[in-house]
Amino acid sequence: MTGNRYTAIIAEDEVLLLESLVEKVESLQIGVEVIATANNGRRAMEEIAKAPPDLLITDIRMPLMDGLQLVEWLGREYVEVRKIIVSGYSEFDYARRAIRHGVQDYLLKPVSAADLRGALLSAILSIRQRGEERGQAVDTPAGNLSQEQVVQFLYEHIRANYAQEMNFGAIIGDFHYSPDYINRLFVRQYHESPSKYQVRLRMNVAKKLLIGDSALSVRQVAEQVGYQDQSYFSRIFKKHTGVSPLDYRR
Amino acid sequence: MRKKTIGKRLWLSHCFVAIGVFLVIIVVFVVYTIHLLLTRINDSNASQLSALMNQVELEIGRMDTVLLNLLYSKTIRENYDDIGTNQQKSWDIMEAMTSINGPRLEVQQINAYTLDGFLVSAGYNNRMMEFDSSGEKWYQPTLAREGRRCIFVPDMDYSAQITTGLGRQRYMSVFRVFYNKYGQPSGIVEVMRDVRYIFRSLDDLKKSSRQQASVFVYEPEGKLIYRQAGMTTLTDLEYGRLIDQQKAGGSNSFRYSVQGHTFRVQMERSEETSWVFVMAMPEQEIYRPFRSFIAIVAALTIVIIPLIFFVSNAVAKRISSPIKQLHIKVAGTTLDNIGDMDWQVDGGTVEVEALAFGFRRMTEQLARSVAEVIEANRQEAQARMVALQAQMNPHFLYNSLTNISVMAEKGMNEGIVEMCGNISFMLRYASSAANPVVTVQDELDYVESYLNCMRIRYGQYLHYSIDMDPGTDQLETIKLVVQPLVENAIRYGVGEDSTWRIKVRSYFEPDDGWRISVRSDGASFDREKLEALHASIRELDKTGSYPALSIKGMGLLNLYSRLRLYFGEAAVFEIHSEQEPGHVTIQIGRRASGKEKKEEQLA
Repeated sequence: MTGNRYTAIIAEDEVLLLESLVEKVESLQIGVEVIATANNGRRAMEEIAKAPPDLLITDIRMPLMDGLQLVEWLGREYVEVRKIIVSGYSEFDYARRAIRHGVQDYLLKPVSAADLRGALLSAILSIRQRGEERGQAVDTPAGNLSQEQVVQFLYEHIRANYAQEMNFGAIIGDFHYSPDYINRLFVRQYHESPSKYQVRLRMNVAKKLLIGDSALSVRQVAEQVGYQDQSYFSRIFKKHTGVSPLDYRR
Repeated sequence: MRKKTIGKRLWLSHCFVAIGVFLVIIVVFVVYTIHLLLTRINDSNASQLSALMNQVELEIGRMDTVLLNLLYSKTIRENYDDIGTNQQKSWDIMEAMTSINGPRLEVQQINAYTLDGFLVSAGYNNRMMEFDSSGEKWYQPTLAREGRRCIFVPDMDYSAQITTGLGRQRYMSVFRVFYNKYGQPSGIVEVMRDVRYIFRSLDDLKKSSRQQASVFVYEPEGKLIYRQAGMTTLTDLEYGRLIDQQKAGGSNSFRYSVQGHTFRVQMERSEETSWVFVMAMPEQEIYRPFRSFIAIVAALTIVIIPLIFFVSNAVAKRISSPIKQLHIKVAGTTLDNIGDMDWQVDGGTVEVEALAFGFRRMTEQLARSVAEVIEANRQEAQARMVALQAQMNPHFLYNSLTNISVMAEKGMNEGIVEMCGNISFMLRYASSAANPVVTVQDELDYVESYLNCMRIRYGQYLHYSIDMDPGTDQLETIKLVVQPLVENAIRYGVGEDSTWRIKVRSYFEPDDGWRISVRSDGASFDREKLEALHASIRELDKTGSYPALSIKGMGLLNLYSRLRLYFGEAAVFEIHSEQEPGHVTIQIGRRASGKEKKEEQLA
């Protein structure tokens, strides 16, 4: 996010279409840079983990892992990445699943430059707004929720407010359920505890900030994802990625 | 109420009616017969009784004739007054009496009494003696009758009044007063006859008849003068009661009870003698023949009622069993045997036969319409299959067009020309419905066009080869059976490095026809899916019917059913899935038929 530069990764299994998309994105000159391409979902996952982009443009039908699985994974792991789907299939079922996973736009092939430009600009706008909103709390819903709904709420709450300090016991306690029990349900559904999930989200965002915006200091990155203590942040980051924040930036 | 079966209902009503009618007939018959017999017995008793009475009257008449002859005999009339005084005249009288009586002794004894104490007898005893008759029982009554006859019968326990020479027999006497020539009564003449002769006819009846009747004869005053008891011991009847009952009933025939026995009594009064003749027959004797008659009827009833049961049961069965048979047949009718059901019903009536005929007609029509529906479905399925195979995957066209537009943007004219050429060839091939049978060469050309398009789209990620062993290019196969396998391989058969390696090959299988195999890397079939596919193939082999075309992921099965349709038993469809390192080979082809095999071996 240095100035008006945004990064993108494109996943598309047909070579001509992939080339065409890359060319189109670059030729639009709206500050979006394609940092990697992939011809299947699994390779796209690897590229994103290596260096999280601002944007993912993906096909649906791909070998090894399809586009819908990819955006689903992305929604869980990298909440800040904007997703645009390019598909040959104008099928309602696909579109619905895509929307559920927070997909920004759904474009049909062959993609015209104008459509692509609109989708990219809308994504950039959303990224900017998100930067301003980061750190704002989400209201606790009123009324009685079922256990499953509480788990779902907790998940969404962490995704939206990962940079906030959270007392999970107090949040769950508001719904009059046992924190231990809700924790267990959460682990069963998402395969890790709420606190670990929050830390992982923070680290994924930190990775993105470290390589995406060289103007930010490590302290600023730490503060942005919710750590006031820079050395504590560095220790966790190293434990998570295997390298220190500064090394990661290089 | 529980429902009855037709058979049971028929049986019951049959039994009811038949037994009812039978019993009514039996009862009417018995009653009528008994009445008839009773009447006849009464009539015959009455006639027998009056015949007996006439006989007795006749006997008495004969005695009276002798008596009158005596009274009007000249010798006797002239000499009667001299009896006792003139010996010679008394002898004359005796002689005259003997001659009138005749040699056959009409009467056993003739006694002529004079009022002045003499007696002349002829018959068994011939004598003259003094005899004062004025003290005898009959003396006064005879005189009182003034010349009319007077009959005297001794009591039942009477010993002969004239013992000498006559033995101890009862004799009946008829008396008349004798008037002399001056019209003065001067004596009494008596003729005597053995009572047994008088009532001989009764005894004869007794001997000749087996009837158990008893006959009694009473004098008007009630004195019993004759008794012919039957086999049944019967104490004497009370005369007064008999007369009372006769008067009360106004009939000569009535029932009479005594000492617990009941008798049928017939009474008759003799006009000449004014005796009362009574015939009594025990009722049990009268009814004896009826008893055996009723026993026979009862035995007949006992025999006939089970017979009615049996016959009506048989009739009911005869009606209901065809219905039951029909029911079993209808219940046993299923879609499988509907056509070849035998509707013949044994022993059916016209109605049941008509019913069976109706069922047969119905099932025939049903079977026909079912067959029509099945045939229609089969044809529809076939038509849809042909339509499907002729239809090019719209996604393929769509994706190809997308690529063409991208190539156009880039000015890649050669690529566009190549792709358009391939696609137009493919469209031509797939949509020419003329003949589904093509050569392997044609089919693999089509596959190559398809793979060409795919290589333009996927570039260096797609590797393929198509090989035809010598001689296989002109084999006959059916259209569009290899391309779906290749399409399937592109969808699922990608290697771990995201690269397709597809090998298409046609070859001869040693001694067993030919094959076309499509081999690809990547995701092998999981065991369950493969099992399900094989199960469906076995099912298809067994029933020969098409699986529903809508089954998801069953494109391969559809392919197999097409092969079956054209090659029959010789069709080959095999999937070889290697888990490591991840290869799938699908073979299709045609086995050598038995005949071809032989030829190959000979060659």
